[in-house]
Amino acid sequence: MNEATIATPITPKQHTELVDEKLVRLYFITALIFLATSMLAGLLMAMQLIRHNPLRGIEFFSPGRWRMLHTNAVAYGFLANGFLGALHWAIPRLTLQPVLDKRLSWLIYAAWQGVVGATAVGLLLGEAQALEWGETPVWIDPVAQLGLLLVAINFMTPIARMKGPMYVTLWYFLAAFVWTFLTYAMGNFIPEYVVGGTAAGAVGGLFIHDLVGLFVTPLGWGLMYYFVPILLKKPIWSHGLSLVGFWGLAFFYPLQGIHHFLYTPIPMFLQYGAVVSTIAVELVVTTVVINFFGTLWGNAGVVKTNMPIRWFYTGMIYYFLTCLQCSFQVTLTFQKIIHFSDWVVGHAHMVMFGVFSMWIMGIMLYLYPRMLNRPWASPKLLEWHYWLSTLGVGFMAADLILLGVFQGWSWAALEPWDASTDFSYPFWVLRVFAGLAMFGGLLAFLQNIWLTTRAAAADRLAQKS
Amino acid sequence: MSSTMNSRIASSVHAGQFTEPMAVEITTAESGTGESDASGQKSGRSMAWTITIVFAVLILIPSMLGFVMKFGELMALTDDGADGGFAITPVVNYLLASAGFFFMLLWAAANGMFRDLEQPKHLMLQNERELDRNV
Ligand code: HEM
Repeated sequence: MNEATIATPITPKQHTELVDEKLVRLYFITALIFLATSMLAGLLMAMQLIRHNPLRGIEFFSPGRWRMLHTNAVAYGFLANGFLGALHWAIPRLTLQPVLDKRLSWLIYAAWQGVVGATAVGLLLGEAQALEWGETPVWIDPVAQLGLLLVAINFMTPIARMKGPMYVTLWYFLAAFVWTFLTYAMGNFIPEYVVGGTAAGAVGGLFIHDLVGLFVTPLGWGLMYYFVPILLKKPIWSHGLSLVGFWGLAFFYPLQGIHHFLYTPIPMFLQYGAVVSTIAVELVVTTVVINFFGTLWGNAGVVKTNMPIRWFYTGMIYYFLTCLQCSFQVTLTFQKIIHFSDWVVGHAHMVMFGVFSMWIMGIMLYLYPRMLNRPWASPKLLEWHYWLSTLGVGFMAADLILLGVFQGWSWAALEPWDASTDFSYPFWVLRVFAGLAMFGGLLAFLQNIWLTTRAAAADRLAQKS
Repeated sequence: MSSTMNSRIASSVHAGQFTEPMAVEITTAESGTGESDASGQKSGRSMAWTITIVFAVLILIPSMLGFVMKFGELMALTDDGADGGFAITPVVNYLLASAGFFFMLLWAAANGMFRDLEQPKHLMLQNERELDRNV
């Protein structure tokens, strides 16, 4: 490109005017604290399943409650905080506009931690709402809903102030703000107050899946479309194709949720609709993955040397695998075997940790040292973090997916239930080890953060004196 | 990249991102758009339109017919006493969400968001470079 033809902006915006780095850092640290809590809760539940619960008999630590804590802390404590931190970086830089109000951003931060903290306490006290992944006690729901509205207003204002064609990331973000708000309202209020019975089940199914597809997925992909080109220093392979991915998601995704309830009393045409739209989304996903690998084409060596890129692309491989898996498991033939089995749990970990957590980790890995103006203190710990997490989750997913098939066959053969729990035992033991590896990876990362932050503080002190 | 593209990027850096638009110099050195190129582009475009319309007719009309028929069956089911309502809830949710996106798609197209599909990706990187230069 002939640089001379690109005129320089008249009033270049300063990064410091746009991005509140302190808030971004705080979001990241909070997210990691919730991840550690969630993983400990997951380990507790995993120990319970191998009948070695170290905290047996204490009601407050009953595994049923900690299971809910595990999933809620991960969704609202880790993923939401991680995304919010990254959004506070990406949106102002993409739009060249600050968020609506920086004080509002801090208020949202505090309120959101209040919501997640109160959810945890509510769950441990046994006050759960009967909605999977929406177990948040009912009295917190209106506060969370208000929080989501404020998040949308705070971030959508800079996007609305922008003129001209939007970059694909902003399309995804805009949609995510609207969808998350609507999805939360739909899942938490409609089954509670408006409909009951099978209808509530159908809405619950839409809720779980839309939370993944309309909150986590658009934010995740939006951030990838932003960070990958920046780190590779080249534009995305095809912006047109990325828009196909976005609009494909917008139209096909919302009908998928029912695929959690195949073979239930929900009318068959709704179940078929979910199957068809799920398969359609797999085609859309393929275009997205092709786009990212097209961008990497010719630079594949970067994956070895550039850590964030390595996390991003590992997440993309896991994404492709989960989606491929999904297009099979959504068929009624597969469902007959794997429904209610550990296959689903394996799938959930592969997507939530193998994909979205990996992307958030990659973003943190890139931004955290940048904000401290200092490289990571220990490259070795970075490697440990990556390999323990990647192999840990790969192992956990493979273990549970395989177990799911064995369980399904056993149930289909009408063997006694006990037979399936007996042969599941060694697989569940392996899950504990895989979980310990993932947790070890997180500890390596936390230590690296500690060392790097301390070194940066020492640098600042030396500069002052 | 062509000079037309460059000038579009430059002008949208101003018109799109900053409050005051600024005059942009347009270089034509690499353009070389002869008459034959122009007519080639024109026939390419009309070919693309033909294909789009054929696909629209072949795919959209049958699928819309199918949808309307299925929707009719669904409506009949919902008339079926107290239990009927449960079937329609997720579909209505879906239709509401999709209608919103359909209108957004129309709005975006009408506002020229898809006129130059590849431009935003260059502009995004350009902005990033500017921001990093101004740290
Ligand atoms: C130390 C690592 C982890 C261990 C040991 C672990 C263990 C578990 C266990 C035992 C369950 C309950 C399974 C059941 O009910 O049969 C579970 C569920 C779940 N976990 Fe984890 N987990 C870990 C990390 C994570 C992470 C990091 C995420 C997300 C980023 C996650 C997401 C989920 C989800 C979504 C479910 C619900 C699955 C379903 O209902 O199908 N887990 N986990």
